[in-house]
Amino acid sequence: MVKLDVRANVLEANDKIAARLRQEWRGRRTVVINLISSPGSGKTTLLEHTLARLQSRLRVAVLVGDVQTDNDARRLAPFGFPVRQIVTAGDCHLEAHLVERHLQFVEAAGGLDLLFIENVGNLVCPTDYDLGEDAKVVLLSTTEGEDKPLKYPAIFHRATAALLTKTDLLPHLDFSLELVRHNLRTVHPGVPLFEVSARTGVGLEAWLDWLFLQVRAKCSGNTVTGGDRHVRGRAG
Amino acid sequence: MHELALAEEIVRVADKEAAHVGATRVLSVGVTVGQLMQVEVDCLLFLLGIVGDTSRYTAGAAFEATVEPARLHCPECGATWDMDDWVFLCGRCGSTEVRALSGERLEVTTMEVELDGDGQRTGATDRW
Repeated sequence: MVKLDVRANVLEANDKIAARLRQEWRGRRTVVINLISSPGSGKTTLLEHTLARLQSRLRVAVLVGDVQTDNDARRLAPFGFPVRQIVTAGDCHLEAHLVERHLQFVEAAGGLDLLFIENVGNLVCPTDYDLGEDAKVVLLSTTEGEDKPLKYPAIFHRATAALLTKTDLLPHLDFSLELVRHNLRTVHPGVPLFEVSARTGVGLEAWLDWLFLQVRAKCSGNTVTGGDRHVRGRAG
Repeated sequence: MHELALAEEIVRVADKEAAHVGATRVLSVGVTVGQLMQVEVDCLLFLLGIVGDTSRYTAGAAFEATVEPARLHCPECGATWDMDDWVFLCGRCGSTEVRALSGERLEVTTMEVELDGDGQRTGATDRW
């Protein structure tokens, strides 16, 4: 019997592909945003309204992951950007090899400024998987409760930015903005928080400003930053 | 439920290492799971028992997991402490610049294997 000192990263296979993707995207100056939230927080609705506002302004594409159906890809297709559905058939998260395999279907000949990867709806499993992205962005909706950052701290801690969605519902809910801000800043002090309603457009301008900031930073060869700290939404 | 995907990766890493050193069988696998990785350790070990049996190397192997605590550090005042409840604010000076020094590892740390010739291969023993 022999004892081996192994010390091998369990996610080495995934991380190797992610590193390759990151290097490619650095060369092409493509900003990659990995959107993560629980099911029903409004990732696809946010993307619909984001894509509508980016038409004729940036070269964008979307990879969207779901356990089943291509419903989300069909919702995102009308905006004129390349969209590709990744059906995981049971897997609760996207892995780098899936992104690499589907990337060819959305990468335009002239390159992309911005690639959104809408992950499978899940606040736990996607957290540990590097997809080569510049930023993980986490969403939390007002109907989910203020304690989500405390219940699922890992993703809120690692996210580069956070969005509170469905703020138009606040008048109908017993939801404390102060408490959710406090909970988020407990697990991740300083993380930018965008409070938005995709339906009404309130707060979307600050989110778009942040995206443009990331694109500009990458074009100039800088690393993506956390950006300015926006808290309250403005009418978009 | 990404513990299943992680269990498959752990067995893949163990298989690769076993093949690399010319092992005939893996007796045990020691895994380190960082506290910040949000992995359910009991669930992972349960699944490793199942997934491990699908590999000719790790079938019957004992899987053990050690949780690596998250050690936090405040660069502003120099305080260092073990994380409690994911609070990333410095309890001493109130700084928001708290960093994790540990707790993000997810690795196959050690293995015990049987080799052809009952452990006579020096290449493998040299690694320890």
